[in-house]
Amino acid sequence: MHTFNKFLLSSLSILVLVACNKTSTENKRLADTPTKATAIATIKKPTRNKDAVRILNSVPKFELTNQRNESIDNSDLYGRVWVANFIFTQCQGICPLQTAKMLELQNSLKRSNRWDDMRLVSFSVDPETDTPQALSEYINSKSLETSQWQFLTGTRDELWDLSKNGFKLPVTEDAQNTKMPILHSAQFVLVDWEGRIRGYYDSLNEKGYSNLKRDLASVVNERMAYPSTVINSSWVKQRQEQQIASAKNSEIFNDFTFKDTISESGITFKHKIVDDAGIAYKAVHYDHGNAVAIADVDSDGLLDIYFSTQVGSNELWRNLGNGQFENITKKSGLFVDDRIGVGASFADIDNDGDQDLYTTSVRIGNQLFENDGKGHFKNITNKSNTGVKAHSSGSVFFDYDRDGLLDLFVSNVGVYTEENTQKVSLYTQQGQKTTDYNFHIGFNDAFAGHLKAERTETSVLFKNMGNNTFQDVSKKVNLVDTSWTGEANVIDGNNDGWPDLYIHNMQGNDEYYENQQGQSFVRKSRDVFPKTPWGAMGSKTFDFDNDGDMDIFITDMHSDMSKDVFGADEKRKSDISYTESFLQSDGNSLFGNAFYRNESNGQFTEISDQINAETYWPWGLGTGDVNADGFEDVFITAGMNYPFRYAPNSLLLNNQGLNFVDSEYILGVEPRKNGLSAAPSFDLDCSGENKSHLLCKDETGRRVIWGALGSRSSVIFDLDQDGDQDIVTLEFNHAPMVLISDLSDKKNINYIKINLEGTQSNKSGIGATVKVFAGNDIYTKIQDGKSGYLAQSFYPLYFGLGDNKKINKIEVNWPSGNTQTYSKNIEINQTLNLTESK
Amino acid sequence: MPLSRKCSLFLLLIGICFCLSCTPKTKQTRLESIIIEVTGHNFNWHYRYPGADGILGTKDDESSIQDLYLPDNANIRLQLKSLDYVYTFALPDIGLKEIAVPDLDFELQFKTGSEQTLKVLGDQFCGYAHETLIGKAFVKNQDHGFYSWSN
Repeated sequence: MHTFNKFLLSSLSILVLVACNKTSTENKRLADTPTKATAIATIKKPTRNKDAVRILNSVPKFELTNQRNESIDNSDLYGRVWVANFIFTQCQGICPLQTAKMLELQNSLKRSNRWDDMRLVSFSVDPETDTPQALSEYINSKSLETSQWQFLTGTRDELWDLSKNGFKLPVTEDAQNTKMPILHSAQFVLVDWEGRIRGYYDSLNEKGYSNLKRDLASVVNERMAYPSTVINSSWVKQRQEQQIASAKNSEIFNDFTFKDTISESGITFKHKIVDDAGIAYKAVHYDHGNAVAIADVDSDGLLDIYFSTQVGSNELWRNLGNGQFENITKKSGLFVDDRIGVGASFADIDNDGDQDLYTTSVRIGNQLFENDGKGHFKNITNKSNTGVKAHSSGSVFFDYDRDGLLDLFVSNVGVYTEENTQKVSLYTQQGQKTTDYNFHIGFNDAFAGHLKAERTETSVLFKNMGNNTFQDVSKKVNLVDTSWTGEANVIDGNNDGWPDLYIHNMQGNDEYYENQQGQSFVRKSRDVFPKTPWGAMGSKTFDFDNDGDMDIFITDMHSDMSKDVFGADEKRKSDISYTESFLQSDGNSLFGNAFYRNESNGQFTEISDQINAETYWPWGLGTGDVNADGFEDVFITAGMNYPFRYAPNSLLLNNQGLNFVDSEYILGVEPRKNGLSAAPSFDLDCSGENKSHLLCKDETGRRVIWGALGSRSSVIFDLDQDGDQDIVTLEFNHAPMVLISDLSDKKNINYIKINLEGTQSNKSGIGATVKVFAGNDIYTKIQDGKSGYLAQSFYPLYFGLGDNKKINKIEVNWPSGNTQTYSKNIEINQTLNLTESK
Repeated sequence: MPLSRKCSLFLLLIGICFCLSCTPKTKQTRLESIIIEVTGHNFNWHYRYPGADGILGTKDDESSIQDLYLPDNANIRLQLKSLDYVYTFALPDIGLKEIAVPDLDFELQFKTGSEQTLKVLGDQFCGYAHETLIGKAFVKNQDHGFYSWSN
């Protein structure tokens, strides 16, 4: 208490100083303002420094049960300011008084227009007695209104630990004391939006109670949202109702849900951004974000997850089974925090049976890491000659010359930053600013970079020369592409067995290069794809209609930036508002997603609008048969984060190869857990260094700006090994989502997972086509490792088999040209390893 | 003499002097064409006009911010520039739109009709709404000289 008083005293003196400094300017303003009376009132009011409410430690993780027998954890209170206390219902000592005080607080707070942002929480310290039912009876006996007041119970160990070690409040037994057999603290605890304790208050003392109310009001005010509507995106809920209603008569199997289990996964990775994508937002390519990629890095049969970030080190999380992960970034040798990360691609570059890793970055240099098969990586960037220093984005490994070694194509965007660097404004959980990281300042006019020849960067094709060395053969094979590209995709468009390259241009028309038997490439962009998305981001090649050939789905984000539309317009092509002088489209652009149906004769037909493939503000897409019906479904990450509004991700269920059905709300992917559509974007010191920030107008003190949540990359795989497809996302400036499917609990599904092992071909079988024959159906997939946005992964091919319980045969077309058929005793619902015969 | 009458008299004198001194200017020729520089900077439109000598970049250039002035019945060339971001400049009432990018030159050409007021819409490629980029274009009757708006 002594320290706290001292703290108050010192903050008071700071306040006096601040007030003195401000007076002269405030008076000047008064002289010419017509609202003198109001302004004088503002000055006379004691301006208490908002920073005075200290940030203490965070409330540790808990998972308890409330009076309605619902499971409640920290995340249910995230995004609220709450007041906690500890009670037990049999208590005859201070508890009734405390509950009465909490009720008084509730009645007082209810009058606030921010009441919706607040919660009350009473933790029981006598859970043996305080079952959910006992709590409910207690509430009824006192006629408490508890729609925003949780009474939580669980095990004694958990609750006592939470009190003692979490909230640092003593609790002990006193068997002699019949009125108070459990002694516990009478303090009320104030917890903020992000689960951090901000103060302790003696609730039964009037001063304590009034201090609590004062600090609570201050902490509530700390949160600002931009745009202001982003916190309560009630339309998300409306869309959910509409979609669920429209799905009632659907013939597609959709009776299952995804649940975000990030808090149970052990994964604590949080993506961090540079200032140009947050506090100093400008339209520069930093807002494209990063990748999530998977591979079994330590050969234990479980797929591990690699997240990339702009600020700090990318992280590798080892899969422990049962949905649990551990951070092995440092142990694995992959800790690198001196550059702004972008993409990540796993591939076995030396055919030794393990997955190596290529990471891209902005300006400082890309890196190649060789895996020893046990999850230890060695930096071989210099030796391999792959350390491109550019504004690199996605990278894709494929064997363009079919020599059995995986080559590498690196997409370089174009120069979107200047030479000068700046410190990243980053705040710790305790609100302390750290300045450990630098970034190259983005050009203010980066979005017009494609109009400036001097900002061109050429993408690079590296040929794998063996012995972990690569050679830039871009010029040699006539693949010199200067598109503003973030990604490329591999497809054998003319069915000649040689992989061709589709290069996404995110500020112009896409390019397509046909592979001339591994010797050279010929540009056939407009011949094969007359019109392409103007702002292409991600793509995936897959057999949409199970006709045996590969179709291409391409997402277009930049066209959607041209105009913010809402509702039904989100599902239409953009009514582009950019001028042709900016677009340089030559009339050959589509302003939205493209879906190219393969006509099996080297021709493609664009059918996105016929099959409901248009989505809003999309980044990349991932595919997987999430309902195991034998048709590949699509998950599309979306949304622009601060300073834009929230835009939901899309989950498109494939309706028998006829069209896509919007299903993100039906399947629980949207709304996000606890209905969150926003999260803290950055901190502002409106009385100090950020005074001139746009959002500090009329504000003082510390402000935390909440902006829209938004995903960037994703990967669809069977994370918990229960036979169905789960989804992991890379969230921009936030923790990932781990969306676990309960499909296999809801339905007996039929599937097979296939691992390929090449011998003449590259060991991973990248480039192989696999056909599974089951009943009258033929399911075709290519092993290209393409996953989500900016990423390449290595994981088994997953085939949902619909009602087919028997597989007749499996045919593999290896990149070497070998075709092999497997037909003996193929069990379903297993992982099958197929090796190329020598 | 009450103070207010003194002031009125004074103002009247000023007014006469002003009118006398500016009479010759009202006889200036009508502008058949004009080149105006439109520069986006810090989310504002800065307009620069050639002034009496009809040449941009000289001492007598006139300027305005946010609102644009155009001579009536004249050929207009707007030279679009930017000192920072990528902007879109639009006159939606007459269906015109062009971008402004630092170090690059873009131009809008059109002919004005009789006196009217048009909307100017500006946009910058980011999530903020910048009201300062929205203004008006006043097509001015030239009977009293085009630059009468700047007095």
